[in-house]
Amino acid sequence: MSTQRANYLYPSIGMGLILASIIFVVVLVPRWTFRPPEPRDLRNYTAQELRGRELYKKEGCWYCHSMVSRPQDWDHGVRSKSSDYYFDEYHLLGSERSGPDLANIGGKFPDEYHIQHHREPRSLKPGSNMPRFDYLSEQEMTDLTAYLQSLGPNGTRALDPTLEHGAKRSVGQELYARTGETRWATVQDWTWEKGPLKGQTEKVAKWKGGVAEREALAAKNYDAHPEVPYKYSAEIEELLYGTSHEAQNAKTPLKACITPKFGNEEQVHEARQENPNLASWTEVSFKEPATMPTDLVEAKALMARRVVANQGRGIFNQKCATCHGLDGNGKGWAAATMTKRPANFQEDKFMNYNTDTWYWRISRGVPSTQMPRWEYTLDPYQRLQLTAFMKYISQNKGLGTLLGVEGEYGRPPSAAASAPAPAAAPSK
Amino acid sequence: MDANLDSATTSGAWAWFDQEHSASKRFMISGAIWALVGTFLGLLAATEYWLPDMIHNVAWLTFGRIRPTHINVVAFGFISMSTVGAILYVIPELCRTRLHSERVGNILMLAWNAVITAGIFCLLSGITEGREYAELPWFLDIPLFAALLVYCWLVWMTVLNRKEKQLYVTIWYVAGTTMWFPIVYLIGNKVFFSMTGIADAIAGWFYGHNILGLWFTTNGIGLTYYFLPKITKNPLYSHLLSIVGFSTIAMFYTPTGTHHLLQSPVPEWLKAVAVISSVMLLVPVMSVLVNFFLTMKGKWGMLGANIPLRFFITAMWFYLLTCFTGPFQATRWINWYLHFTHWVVGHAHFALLGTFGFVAWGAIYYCVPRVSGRQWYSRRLANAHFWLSLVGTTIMMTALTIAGLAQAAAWEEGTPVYRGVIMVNPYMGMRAFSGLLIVIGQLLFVYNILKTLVFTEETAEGPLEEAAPSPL
Repeated sequence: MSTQRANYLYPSIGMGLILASIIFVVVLVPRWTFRPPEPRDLRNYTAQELRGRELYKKEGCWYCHSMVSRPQDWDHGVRSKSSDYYFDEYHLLGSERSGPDLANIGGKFPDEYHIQHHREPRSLKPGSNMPRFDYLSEQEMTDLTAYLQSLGPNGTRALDPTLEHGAKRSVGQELYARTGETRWATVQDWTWEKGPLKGQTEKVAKWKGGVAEREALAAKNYDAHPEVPYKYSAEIEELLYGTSHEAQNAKTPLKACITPKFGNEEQVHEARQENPNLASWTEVSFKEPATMPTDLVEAKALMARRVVANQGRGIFNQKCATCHGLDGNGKGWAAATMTKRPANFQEDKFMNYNTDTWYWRISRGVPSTQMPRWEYTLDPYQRLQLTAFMKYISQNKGLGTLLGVEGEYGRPPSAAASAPAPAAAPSK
Repeated sequence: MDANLDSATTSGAWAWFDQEHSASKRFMISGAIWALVGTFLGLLAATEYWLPDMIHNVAWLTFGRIRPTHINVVAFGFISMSTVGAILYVIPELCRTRLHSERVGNILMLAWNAVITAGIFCLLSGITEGREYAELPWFLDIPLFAALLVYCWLVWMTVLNRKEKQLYVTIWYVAGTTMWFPIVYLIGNKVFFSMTGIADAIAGWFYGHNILGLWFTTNGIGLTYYFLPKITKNPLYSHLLSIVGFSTIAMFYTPTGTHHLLQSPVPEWLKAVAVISSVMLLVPVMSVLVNFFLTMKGKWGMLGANIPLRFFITAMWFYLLTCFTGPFQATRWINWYLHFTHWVVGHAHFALLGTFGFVAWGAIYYCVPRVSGRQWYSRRLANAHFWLSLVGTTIMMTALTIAGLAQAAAWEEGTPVYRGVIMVNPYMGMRAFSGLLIVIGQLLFVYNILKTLVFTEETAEGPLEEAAPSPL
């Protein structure tokens, strides 16, 4: 017997050692070396959020909803990083995506939306196959919602990494705090009384003013008549973005033809007091005049518009030019790989796009294409700058004056310029 | 060993526990019943996925609780218990001895069934640990781990007391599993070992992939190494290939877990290790399959008459498909496209239902006449079970693969996930239908095995391993 066993002893030890060494490499070494840093942009869970997290695990939400936003994802917000999971005692990454990813769900919808969606998913998203969690108690529903609202950079756990450690994030938190109470009411009022569902009571009862329906209607409308820009609705935008265009407009005194920046209400008020006839932001034309205006105010306004458009150009070069091309002709490097060609902004129809349409388009992306929803990546101010640039290149059919920017205010295109050379930039 | 022989003849309180082959037999009956329960739960989950308003306001019947129950019953009940039952018959045969202790084997069977039953109640009432394949709570992890150790002890004692000098390949696989899998189980269930944050996902998927690699695969492949030469009466094609296949499986299977996290923020070197070893998995897999298919040389005609052989060969074709797609979908760019889609669900069913489910069924069909001395109650039922399972599994694969590709294409194009769900809904109906076929097959299977072993009825349909007397 002893000789028999000796034949197999060393192979057995070898087999054990193989597993031991691999466990060492792929389990123990990561355990010692892979220590994500404590995040500066997240706080720990509260007791209520942890109860919600337990529920999320218990009810098996994580079998259908992943919890990691990947680089290739189109509309799931910023990419997840390892420190996002710092406070998690157990991971809930999930392995399948039957429903949307939830890593950045916080602040995207009001609490009431989540609760209604958990109770009756198909009242808000017809055709969804999410189970009805109507057996959860009020308390459980609140806990679960608190957990969901805590996730992501706009969630309640988000801190501003640029502020002192532990400070609250200003933008996301404020947006949510400001809109959380009112947005749900806005949905219902708008849908039932003013919106496209007016008078269709049975459909109203079925849809209850879901966000997805209005998105779908808008997209459908756009597919049918791409030449007609969206009808802008402040209510929709308020609902969908957490802020409205008009709110941004009020904060951004571009109408006063100065470099836009977030201003407070008093500044806007002062600007209006000074000159009540200033053009509104929506109506600002970025068309380059044939000659440099002689009027000093108009010349200053022109220069200011070029400055803003040029600011947007930087964003465009970084974010958009890969697909749309450096001068917006839709022939970027990545365009060849796409089934749906990126838009050529030098086409005539884009001249008719007003500011609202551009802002909406940039923020929401284009459904069924690879155009992302930039509202996740760019802040409203950057989107306004980009809007200015989009108006510039569509109305001037190209980069125009911005082609060779020199100094602070830029100079005219060097060759084949339709516009005569403007006078020297006026002094401030 | 003398004590064993004596114990076989004892009477009285322990008589029920000490009959020869009783542990193996009862493990296989349990496996068959869990197969029915598990696939029924799967059918229920698939139907709820397809018709979400079918059941509501019943907490323990919600999809999120049915799904883990389905997985755990099928994995730990059906496949594990069936293969363990077959192993408890095969290992003593190969060692030319008897099982070291039938009594311990029977107690193990009872304990294992108790854990699975308790597990169903826990998971349906929402007591879960929230890690895939390791959902059972800690107070069931520990008994299951103890049961695993007892099983290992049983295998080792039988092997050590053998009368045959050589160890056949099957014993390498089964004994290797007993050395490897308890450690893997311990890491995956975090009873004594824990990580937090996203590092938990690394440990979780180390376990999640290795329960497949070092438990189902090694047991299933080991059993097939026994049954194929035994049924066809051909010698194993190549001893060298079997050594290659066995010695590389622990090397290349174990580090692959991180390929479930390729786009997640975990260390890049770990992803590289996972991808490389996933591709290298082709080495053990292909050596095993080449060995099996060449062992079949000249005996393919037996497939028509021999039902157990049909199950094994079907399983190996499914294994070929699984393991050709697996390494490629683990590479970064294909994973980039397919991750999170139904393709992955389909792949998991390829491996567990198509391959190891079929191995388990084939093993039961082969072993039951040998452990009980009785022929199967009905050859027709076995035949129907085979075809229902095969057609059901094939439809399920087709539906899930198409759905996965459709989802991947939709996401790549930028379609929101929610619209993708609506898009693949017909395929989910198809999957539920395939589940219905499989459950009907299991019903016939359980009826057949109970008639054979419990009610001991016989018909004149003839043994499963010979040509049928009638055209059926």
